[in-house]
Amino acid sequence: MELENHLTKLKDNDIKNEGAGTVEISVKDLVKSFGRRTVLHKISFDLNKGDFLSIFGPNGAGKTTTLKILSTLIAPTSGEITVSGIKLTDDPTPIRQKIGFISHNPLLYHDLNALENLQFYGALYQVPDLNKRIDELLERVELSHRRYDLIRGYSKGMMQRLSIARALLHKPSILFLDEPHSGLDPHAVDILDGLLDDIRPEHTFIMITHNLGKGLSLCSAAMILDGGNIVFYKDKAALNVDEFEQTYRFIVKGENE
Amino acid sequence: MKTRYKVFLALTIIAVPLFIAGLIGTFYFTPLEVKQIGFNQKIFYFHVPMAITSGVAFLVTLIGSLAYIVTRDEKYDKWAASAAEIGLVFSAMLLLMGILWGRAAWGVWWTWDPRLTSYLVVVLLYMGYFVLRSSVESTTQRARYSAALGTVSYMAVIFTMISTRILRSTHPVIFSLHNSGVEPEMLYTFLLALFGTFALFGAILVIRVSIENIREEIEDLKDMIG
Amino acid sequence: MSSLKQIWAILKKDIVLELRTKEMLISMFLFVMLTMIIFNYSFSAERNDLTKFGGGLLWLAFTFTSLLGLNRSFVHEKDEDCMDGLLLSPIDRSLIYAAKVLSNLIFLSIIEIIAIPIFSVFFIKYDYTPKLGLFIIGVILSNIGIASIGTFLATMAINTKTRDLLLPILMLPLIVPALWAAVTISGAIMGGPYGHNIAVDVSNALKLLVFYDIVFLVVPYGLYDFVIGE
Repeated sequence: MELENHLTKLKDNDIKNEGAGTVEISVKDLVKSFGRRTVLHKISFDLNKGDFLSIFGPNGAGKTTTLKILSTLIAPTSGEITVSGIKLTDDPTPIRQKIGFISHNPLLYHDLNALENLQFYGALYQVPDLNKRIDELLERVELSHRRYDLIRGYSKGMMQRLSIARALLHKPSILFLDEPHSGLDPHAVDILDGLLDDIRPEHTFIMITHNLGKGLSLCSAAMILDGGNIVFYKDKAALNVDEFEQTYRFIVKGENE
Repeated sequence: MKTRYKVFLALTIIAVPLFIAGLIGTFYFTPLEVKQIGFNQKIFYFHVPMAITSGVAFLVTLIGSLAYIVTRDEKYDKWAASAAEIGLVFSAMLLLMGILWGRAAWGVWWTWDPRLTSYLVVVLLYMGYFVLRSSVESTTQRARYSAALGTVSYMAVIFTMISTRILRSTHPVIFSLHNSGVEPEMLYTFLLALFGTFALFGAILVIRVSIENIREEIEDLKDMIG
Repeated sequence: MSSLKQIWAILKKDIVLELRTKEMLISMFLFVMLTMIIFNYSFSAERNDLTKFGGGLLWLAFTFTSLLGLNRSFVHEKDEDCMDGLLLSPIDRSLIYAAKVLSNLIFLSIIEIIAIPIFSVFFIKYDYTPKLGLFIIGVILSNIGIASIGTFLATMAINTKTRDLLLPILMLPLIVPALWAAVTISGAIMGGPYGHNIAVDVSNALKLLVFYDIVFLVVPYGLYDFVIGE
């Protein structure tokens, strides 16, 4: 079966990992409530440098909320979170500098061209040697020839590729991926996966996905969130695919997949 | 929950006799102003307490807003919004009283008197506050935006009051620092009405917040049923 | 220094976007010209001599024109979902506010630089150029008041159900003091030679405007992080 293949393939060249042992992201008793509605009930997990966590779960499970909290977009209600040794409640600016965020939403200005978009974000992140970095990344996502075209004319896949370049611009050490594969054409998926492979060793990842195959093959640990609780959390080494699949289907029954 | 109703009851029991005493004082004990305004000067005994109370109400809104900003506890949002609601009703009534009085004293329905104008602006300001509240669905977002607007609105109230006061006003001034001609009956009647209005405000505020709490409980129960 | 670079990045981005789409400036310009045409119809019996009412009418036009611009100021962030992009970046949220106030200020000023001379030629029969400096100071201070509170409220308005409709409802009552000052200053200067009483009014209005600007820059600046985050 396809999943198993992915897994064995990964076990063979298990990339994990030089900086192992140093905790990069630590979440302890994270609670998030929106008014009376609590969407995260005291969830806790740790990620080491170089880990790749895939988060699965039905819609409304709190996956995106978790990522938004970790990326300092929204504040937790309670709980202790450190990213790269910095407490989230302290000055969030250095944390933001370390995080790259790729979502299904490219976060690009439609009336700017590729170069201007990257220059804009580069200036916000104060990327040194910006133009060289932009050239490098545009080359990598195969958009060099379209650099002066407005994003408005881009296809979904091109936007997503440029969005990857945007997220990597400031050389983040942590990457958050919110359903990065959704809506991509196969070419864009290849580029994305290739890029992820390239940068895999020195980065820590959290990916939200509905795509079991991709999620499991890429990850070093898998988590299922449901109703704001972690209902499944195992390292790849200890993971039994059938058990995982069963749990997943049980929880997500009726939902997508 | 229970103590809140007791407070409400107590405040109501205080408010009613104070109000009645204030009214009796207004009509039977205070001297008739003869120099310029005449009988309709008596509106003053309730007009000014209401003005002060509406100012207090908006101050409560400001404090509630700031408390929400600091604590992010939605109960403060309820206090702020409830106080703003009462403040709005009081200022609207104040405006109406002012219009009626202006008709009686000056013979016109409306004059662009600075004080009238400033209260018109205040009413519009806090109407905006409620328009904002009704156009946000998420309760946290509503609380957040309301707290921000509640804060800047109060600043705007202060500026509006200052800016209109810089202009020369025709609005009568009954008590002023240099005016020693206040009879004790006038002062007592005024104070009765003032504390009566305060008590009324407190009672409505407490019950208003309780209603919000109950509404929330109902929503919770609805959620539980699904 | 680095903060200034970040502010400049946002500002430059807004200006480039605007020069490319021209949506905002064109609609603002059209609006201002149309109000003048309506003034012409309304006051033709006065031989279009609005010297005495210049201040009020000028700010009537500018207030509503500014609403057009303010409502557009977050449209790219909202419609193309770029707000998250801004919020993810290591920029102090208050600096986003500062940048947006500046861009709104620039767009409003561009329109005014075009509109004020036209308005003066059309309707003002008094040569107020000797007091042009004071006039410009008044306009700039008023613009700051409008842009500071307007940007703050536009941030909220764009994220509500009613969107553009909400901004005028929230903003107009809030800027009444600033408008009163603006009208007093511009009106006094355009309205002909003025005596001592008016000079006192103008200086009071200027003082009020300075305080208004400070309060409505500082308070929203401080609250912006609270408002924009979730």
